[in-house]
Amino acid sequence: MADHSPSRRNVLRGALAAGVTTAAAVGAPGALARGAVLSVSFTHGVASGDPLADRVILWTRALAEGNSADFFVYWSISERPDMGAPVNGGFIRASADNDWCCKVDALGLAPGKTYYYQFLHRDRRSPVGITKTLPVGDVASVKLAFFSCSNHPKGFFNVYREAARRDDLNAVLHLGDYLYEYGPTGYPTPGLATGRNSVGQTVTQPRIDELRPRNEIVTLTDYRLRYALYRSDADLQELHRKNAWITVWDDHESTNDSWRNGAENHQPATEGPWEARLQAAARAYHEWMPIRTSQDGNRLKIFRAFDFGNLARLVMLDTRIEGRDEYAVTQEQFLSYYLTARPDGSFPADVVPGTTRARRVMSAEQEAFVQAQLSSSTQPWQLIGNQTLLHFQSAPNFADTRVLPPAIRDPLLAGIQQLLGGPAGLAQYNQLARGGLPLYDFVADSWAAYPTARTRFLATLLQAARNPLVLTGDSHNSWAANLRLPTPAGIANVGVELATPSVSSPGFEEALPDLPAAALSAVVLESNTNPAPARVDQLVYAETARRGFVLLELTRERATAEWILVNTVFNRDYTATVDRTLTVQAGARRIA
Amino acid sequence: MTRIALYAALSLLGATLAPAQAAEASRFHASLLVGSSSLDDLTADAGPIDGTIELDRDVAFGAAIGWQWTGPLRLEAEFLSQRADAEALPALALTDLNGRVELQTLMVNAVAEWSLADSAIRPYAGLGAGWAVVEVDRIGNEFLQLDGDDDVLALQALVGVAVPVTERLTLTLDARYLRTESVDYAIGPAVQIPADSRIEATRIMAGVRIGF
Repeated sequence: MADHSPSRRNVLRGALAAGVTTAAAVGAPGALARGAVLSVSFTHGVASGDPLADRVILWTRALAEGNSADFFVYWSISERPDMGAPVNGGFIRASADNDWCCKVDALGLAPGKTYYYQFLHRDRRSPVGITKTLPVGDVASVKLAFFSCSNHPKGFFNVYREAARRDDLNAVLHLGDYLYEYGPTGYPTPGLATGRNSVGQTVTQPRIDELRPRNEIVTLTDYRLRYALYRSDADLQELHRKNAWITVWDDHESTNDSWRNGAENHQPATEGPWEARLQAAARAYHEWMPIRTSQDGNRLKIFRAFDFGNLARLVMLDTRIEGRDEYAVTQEQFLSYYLTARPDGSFPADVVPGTTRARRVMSAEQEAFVQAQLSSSTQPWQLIGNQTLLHFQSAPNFADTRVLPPAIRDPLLAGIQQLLGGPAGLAQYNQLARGGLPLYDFVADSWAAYPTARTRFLATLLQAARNPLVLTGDSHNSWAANLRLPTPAGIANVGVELATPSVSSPGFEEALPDLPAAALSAVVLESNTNPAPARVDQLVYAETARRGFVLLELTRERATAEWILVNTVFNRDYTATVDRTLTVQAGARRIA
Repeated sequence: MTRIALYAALSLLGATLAPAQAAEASRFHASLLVGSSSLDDLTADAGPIDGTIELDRDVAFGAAIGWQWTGPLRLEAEFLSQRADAEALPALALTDLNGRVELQTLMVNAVAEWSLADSAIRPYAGLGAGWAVVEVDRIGNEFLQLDGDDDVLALQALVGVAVPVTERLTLTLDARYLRTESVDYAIGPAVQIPADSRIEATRIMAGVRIGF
């Protein structure tokens, strides 16, 4: 910056007034000392997010070599790819306080338009990003892609790369687990131990050596470094660059199985107070993600809604941090909720320990927000951006399956028996599966583990929404289910849950490497197709071996979901295929 | 206040010279000047920006009072005013900019003017130094604005020809180059980033000089 030298200038003015001006005084070298010219790099690409009809969040990260002081970056947004005739622009401060992340809410935009944006500092320019504002009025169709569970060390982001090839998306949704908190040894899987998975691939962690920091992330510095690692991925950068993202966190943006007052993977004795860790995680999230921070500055309040004209309303939930009570810490506690369920559908055991208050997944404030957003939506579709599985999924009943021949079934049962420690373990499992109860290890933090809150949420969807589609992440595997709810008039169709597989986090193919993937999917489907007392949802689709994303296209008549899966994340060469296409007709509240 | 001070200084200079003019009429002259002036692009290389504001060519006008000092040498006190509208900032792909640069200079010139044998044309050349008041007046658009004013030292060089029409009336035509010290302004509006730029003006001026 210019060094304004008032004393010198006053001397010169005095000299002029005295008529003794000298030519040498003008243009002398260093007359006004300038600040050092910074060498700025946009090290992590660009991103946009939280589009509305007239605005969108723009993001970049600007690092100046050898500089620790704040500096400014100029941003510009235009309707033209060459950035001509910009419609808005201005300055953003790059500061160590924000980890050099620059975010701005670009206002004054027109609805339903594609925009191009760029950041610059002197002669250094960021890549040109592409974003879209939300449409208003009549909207014929909307196309979204949704993702979850991207684990950098576990695999290459081929799924992001595949999605980034598209130019037809209105927005990208990320439903959480954008990153993982573990250190190099923090995410062991049976498949990693044996070196193979259930579909015959050699299991590796192809990017484990790149992991930064090398420890489990706990502090603000840790979280920032981990975001920086993830955002150095070219495929992720490209998907950010080409699309506006709408994101929510799940647990791993803080730590595994987090809830409002703690987490499974947080030990206060060695890792400090939970609140400090949560605040650090939330701060880094808001620094690095193109999310619009709540006007009151509360970084923990991220539930919000978006309108796609008269076609759809999207409600993004925070079912993980904002209002969630502690998960059931033992299988016995978990099963007690269902084993003591009353005929009226209530779950008296589902209370906060030591109280009579039913456990919650969302706060009362968030539930009221969701209720209001759904009931005021006049669009044919209500989309719910959700983290953990909402549909009830009972343990697969291998003992009584009819879809597997004995030649396949019996070795499976033997393997399960070995996995569960012997005949007693297998017998207990079979009892669980025959009773239609869920497998604790699979659903301990899902909606099914909070049956009171789940039932209340399903009732809200039934009563307030016209055609709810619940878009879910977290589970790493692909699912589609009809959500149903017992009512005095019978079992009502509530809506449909569409669950995306992970981007790279391992699924059942690595968690159960000895269980043939096709057999597992078949038995899970069989076990969750016919209603049982504890559950009434209908699983329609299960794929448990491949990573991918869901492409969702909405029209006024129907919603069409495609599960686009890649064959590997262990190397950069991959093939992608549409594994399943499912359709929901408007008004049906179930998969066609 | 700065501009008022400039006008006051000009008036004071005129008043100071007036008695001398009355006493030695043939050694004093006054000129009216008008011409075309082009300001070089305004440098906007502060903070994130490394570019220039393109300015349009505009009219400059003013007046001068001179004293024939010795031999061919005369001294002049000269006031010129001009403005230049902003047009574009190519580095940011901004066109149709609003705002302008206004420049007023009070210069003291030392000018040598020679007679040529067998010619009515009298070439002259000079150097000047003085004071420039520069206003960078809300250049930009709704999301970028360069604004500020400053008064700084300036240097000038000029070369031209004079053609006597009558004993007291002379027409002049000259080219001038003026350069100021760096002018401070700010780049905004959301934030105020200090910036500075030299002002360089190239002028073609025609004048009418009346001797006393």
